Amino acid sequence: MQYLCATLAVALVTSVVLQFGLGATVANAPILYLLVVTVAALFAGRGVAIWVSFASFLVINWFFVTPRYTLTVQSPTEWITLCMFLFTAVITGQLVALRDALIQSRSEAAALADADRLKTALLSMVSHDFRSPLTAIKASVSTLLSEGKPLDTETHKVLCQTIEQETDRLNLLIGNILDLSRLEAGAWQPKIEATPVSELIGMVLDNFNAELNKRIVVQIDSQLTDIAIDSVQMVQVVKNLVENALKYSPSDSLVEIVAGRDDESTTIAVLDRGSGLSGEDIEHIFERFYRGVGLPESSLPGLGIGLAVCRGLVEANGGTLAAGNRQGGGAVFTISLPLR
Amino acid sequence: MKVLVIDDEPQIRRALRAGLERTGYSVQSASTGEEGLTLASERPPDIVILDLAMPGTDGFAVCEELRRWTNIPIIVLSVRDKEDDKIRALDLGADDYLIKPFGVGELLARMRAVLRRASTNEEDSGEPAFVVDDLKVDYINRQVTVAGQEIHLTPKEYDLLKCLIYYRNRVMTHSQLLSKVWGPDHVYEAHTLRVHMANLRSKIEKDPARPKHIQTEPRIGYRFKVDE
Repeated sequence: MQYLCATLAVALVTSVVLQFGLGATVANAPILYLLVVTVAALFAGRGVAIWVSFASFLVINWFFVTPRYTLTVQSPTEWITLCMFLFTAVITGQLVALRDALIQSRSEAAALADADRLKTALLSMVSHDFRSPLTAIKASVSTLLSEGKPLDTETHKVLCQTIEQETDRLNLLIGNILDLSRLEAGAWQPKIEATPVSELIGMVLDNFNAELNKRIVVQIDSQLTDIAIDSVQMVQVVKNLVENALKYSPSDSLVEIVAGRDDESTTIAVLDRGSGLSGEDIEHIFERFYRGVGLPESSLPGLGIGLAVCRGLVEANGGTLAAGNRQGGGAVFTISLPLR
Repeated sequence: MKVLVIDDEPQIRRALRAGLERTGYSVQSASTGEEGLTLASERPPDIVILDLAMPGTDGFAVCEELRRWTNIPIIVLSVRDKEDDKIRALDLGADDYLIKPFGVGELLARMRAVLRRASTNEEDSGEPAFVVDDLKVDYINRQVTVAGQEIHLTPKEYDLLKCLIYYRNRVMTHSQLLSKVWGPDHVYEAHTLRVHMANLRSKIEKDPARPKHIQTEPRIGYRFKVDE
């Protein structure tokens, strides 16, 4: 098909040239045909470009080079010109056709470089964030095992509790990394089921002990019934948001979970009375490995991948996740899920 | 009470043995599925703790094989995010599951729950009433009260509550609950179950958004939690 069009193009150009007597000098016609070769390469690829190159060569030879209407060439200089034309045509055609391949391999290279950078960032974060709890565990347990003055029961208990807490923290970090890599690999397909909003929020609250639960206030619009989501994934998201809210706001302030709906969507918002988000935060906060501006590195643990995972999961469930500030101070994260 | 622990990791076997013996259980352990099956048939335990992911004969195969000839309670050990594995194990006849890493306290609580079920043969426990916190279920008069106030439950809601209480602290899959309360022909009506559970929750829980008793196990089923 493409070859047919190309042949027609060559024929068209030939008739134009013959009609208008443009073939008067051997120089003119080749340039027009070169144009056809270029267009053929752009739209039809390498093979067609070669076809047009040879077709043009033959046509020029036949119609425009003396003796006309034969394939013989009288003058050696014209023969050279003709051959130069063919050479140029073929090369031009190939280069133009290869342009797409060049663009693609450049973007592939960029993607690989990107993935590599992420891997490096991830490895260094893992190294730091895993070493912290491991250090605490090692220190606690070696103290418990060591010889010397017997530890009093309180110290003994505290060390054991530290080991337990840090183990839980490691477990959480591992979970986050697994979630992120599953998301990256596109391997975590949501299994959508109709889930009552109250059930979802109930499951989220289950993840917090009684003390933390005292800081969480829930408000669910009574009109809300079911939402079509993967409950395992959405529990993760809301839990993550609530954990952040609890962490980044004063320990005597409340964190609110508000579920409501408007005409188009069901919304679940997590609000806190912390210091809120800066403009830069709002722009970058869902990027992987971004840590808030102005947060001292050591004080708040976490890989900074939580929000990237959250957004990925919400989007996989057909919704959106947005961050902003609320009136009176503090941050608000809003999940919007389309009504079924 | 005899426990059989089947897990390929020696550290886990050691830790479980220590925790269980301390509580008064006597512990046998096996490092492979085959060894576990042999021990189970030679010296039948009262309960089996079974790791799902073992090389060779895995936990699923062991579960399936055990269920061919015994009803011994089985608790499987699985990992986070593998809901399908847990569902499969429960469908093969496991009684409950635990997600690694777990604390020994959790394990002991689940063991108590499944052992209690095993010791009474019928669904009717023979108790006249069940009381937990503000909730009282009077089986004789088919009456349910919360903080002294009688609440009205539909017949299915009542049956569902009774079933949950009987199997308290144990996970119940959607199909198990549907089968027991609605009948084996209804095991695919998960939505019906969800609606009933939501209604039940709003009627008997003090704070339906923070259910103390009716816990949802995402994609798997429910657990009626009672502190014992």
